[in-house]
Amino acid sequence: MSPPPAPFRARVDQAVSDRHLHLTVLGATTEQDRKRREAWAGLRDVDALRELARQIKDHTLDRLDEYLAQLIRSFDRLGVKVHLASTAEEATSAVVTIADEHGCRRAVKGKSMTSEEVDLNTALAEAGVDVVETDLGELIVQLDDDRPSHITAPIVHKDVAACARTFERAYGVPYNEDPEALVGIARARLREEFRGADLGITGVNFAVAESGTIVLVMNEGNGRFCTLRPKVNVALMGIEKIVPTLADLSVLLKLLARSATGQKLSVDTQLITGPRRPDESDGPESMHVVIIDHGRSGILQGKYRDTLRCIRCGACLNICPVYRSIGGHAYGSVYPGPIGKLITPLLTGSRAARDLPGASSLCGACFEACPVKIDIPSMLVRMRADLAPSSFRARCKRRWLGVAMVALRSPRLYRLGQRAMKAVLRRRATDGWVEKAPGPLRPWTAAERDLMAPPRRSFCDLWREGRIK
Amino acid sequence: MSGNASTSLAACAQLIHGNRAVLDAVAAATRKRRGHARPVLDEGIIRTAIDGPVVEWFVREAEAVGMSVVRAGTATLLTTVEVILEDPERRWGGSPSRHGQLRELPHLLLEPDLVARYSQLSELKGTLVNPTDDELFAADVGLVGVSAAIAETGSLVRASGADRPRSIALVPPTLLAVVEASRIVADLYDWLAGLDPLAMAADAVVITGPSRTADIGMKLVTGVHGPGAVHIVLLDDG
Repeated sequence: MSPPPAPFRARVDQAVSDRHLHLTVLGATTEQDRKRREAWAGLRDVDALRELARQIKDHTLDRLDEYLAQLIRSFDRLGVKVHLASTAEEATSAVVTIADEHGCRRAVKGKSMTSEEVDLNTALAEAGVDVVETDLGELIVQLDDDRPSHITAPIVHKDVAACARTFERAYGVPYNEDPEALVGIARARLREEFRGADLGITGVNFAVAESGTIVLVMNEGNGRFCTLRPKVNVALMGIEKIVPTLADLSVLLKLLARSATGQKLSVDTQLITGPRRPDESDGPESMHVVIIDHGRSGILQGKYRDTLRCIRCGACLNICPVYRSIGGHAYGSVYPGPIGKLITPLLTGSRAARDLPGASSLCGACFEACPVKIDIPSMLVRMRADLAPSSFRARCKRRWLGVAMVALRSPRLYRLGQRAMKAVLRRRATDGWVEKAPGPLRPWTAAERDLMAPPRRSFCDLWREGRIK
Repeated sequence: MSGNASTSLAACAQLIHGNRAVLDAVAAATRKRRGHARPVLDEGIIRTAIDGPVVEWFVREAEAVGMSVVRAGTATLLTTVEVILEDPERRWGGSPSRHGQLRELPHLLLEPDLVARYSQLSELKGTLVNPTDDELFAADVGLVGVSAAIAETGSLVRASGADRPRSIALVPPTLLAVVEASRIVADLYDWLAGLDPLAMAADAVVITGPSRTADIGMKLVTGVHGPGAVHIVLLDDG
């Protein structure tokens, strides 16, 4: 009796059988990865720069108490109101309260994975605040009532036709597969939103402790619009987004765009330092920052601290053979891909996420593509051990592997085992293949695979007989 | 030292709203230092290898990200700008459909700070004086100065200020920027490390090319919300 397939397993099966999805995601991620390599090659010494970025992040995390204090004081000096949130609920209710206090009812929002993490849009909708996503990919996700499937390319799972259908349905415009035309429609629609909104919501790519600067990195110009017209701005950030100095920032900025899209810099790198000054004619009148813990301080304390170095570039997704095969939705989490497999169980602690670390071939590609050198494969192995179930089945499996380990260490026992195996398997084989293997080998053949029966004489036999030299 | 740090974090409790437990949690999580010292920022590692004279380098990189560069002297600044404004192809970045009718004489938003430095620009025709909101959103071109430019990335840096409204460089579909050669720095690091952290502009934008997206079918489309065409008048002032 085998247990019912876990939801994750079912999602993976579904994704793997979706050939169209596979080709769409494979094409896009392969291209993005090629651009990253090209951009990295243009740096003087990319490995030295990555090492420096790692050191900056490690140092910042090691003294996060000091830098958080410095950041809060910088914000205070500038008149930026700071809200701290331990949980997703506290984070969303902080934003709702800000909206209420300022009487805001129409929000424009820049792309923010942290807002996805705390499910901000749902909370705002329940509070009667209209939210419009302004990143083109996120807008299409919102119109489709979908979820982003990639950290930096939220609709990587959709082709042009799917986007055209979305616009046709949501906006009542004629079906048109020309991306230029679709962008034009979005531009016209969002201009009105930008003009009418009274609340601008963004994420934070980096927050500079010494200056109190919030850094936003975008390509479409939507981030600048979100922070131009609305009288109130709210920025959401995890506690790990802090960098100590503006000089440190240059190191991370040099790696972020190159790793994400292959650009040297994104089109808009916006450094926001406080609300509009008294002598300025535009910009937000009041600024709020919501600094979110949501499990991060727990990670900071433990053996997975390195995951907090992540700058959310998405390079590990683009290079990952598993991500390329199944796309982002199959992971069933806000953060997909290699880094998502680690941080999802850590952030959510949910039972549903415990299968995620297993979904890796441990090939190591993500480690090599990471601009801040997070050793994702090693941590996946560690986490698998942490999350291993303690059921009867699991205990049996561990016991069996213990026996196997003893046998594999002793040539004599190994040969004995091999002979026994050969005898059993050859008896069960038809035409050289075993359809149903016994004992611990059963899962192999249960997964719609046959097992090749061992040959009459093994390699070792032939070697000893001198037939192989 | 960690004792001091925790105290200082605790002192921040007066400055924040929401859940103070976050401060305690961070203090607890960092009580035991793991010995990651502050790294030395080695410029030899950070800075991109210099690729020729800085002005030429900047021009090459700016063009590589899709901006155009025309060179001028102080004496020829006005006529150079006029020539660009009179060229409809330049004005619309090749996609008039998205920006409505092509006006014979473009409606121009002129940055006061730039005019203060180059008074001859006040002679430009079509300049909107104290534009209404509708006029702002219907304007064709924004003409601005920059506080710096970065050679390695081909970027323009624009800082907001009293006479430098943010909207001029964002709302119109075409952006025209006057860049003095003397303001070009070699590297992003040079610009950032040279800033005074206690005297930052409220909004400083590093602009690297026309606004763009590749979200739909991985096809690059320029001119999403920000300017779809960016032209640089490079002023030889050295």
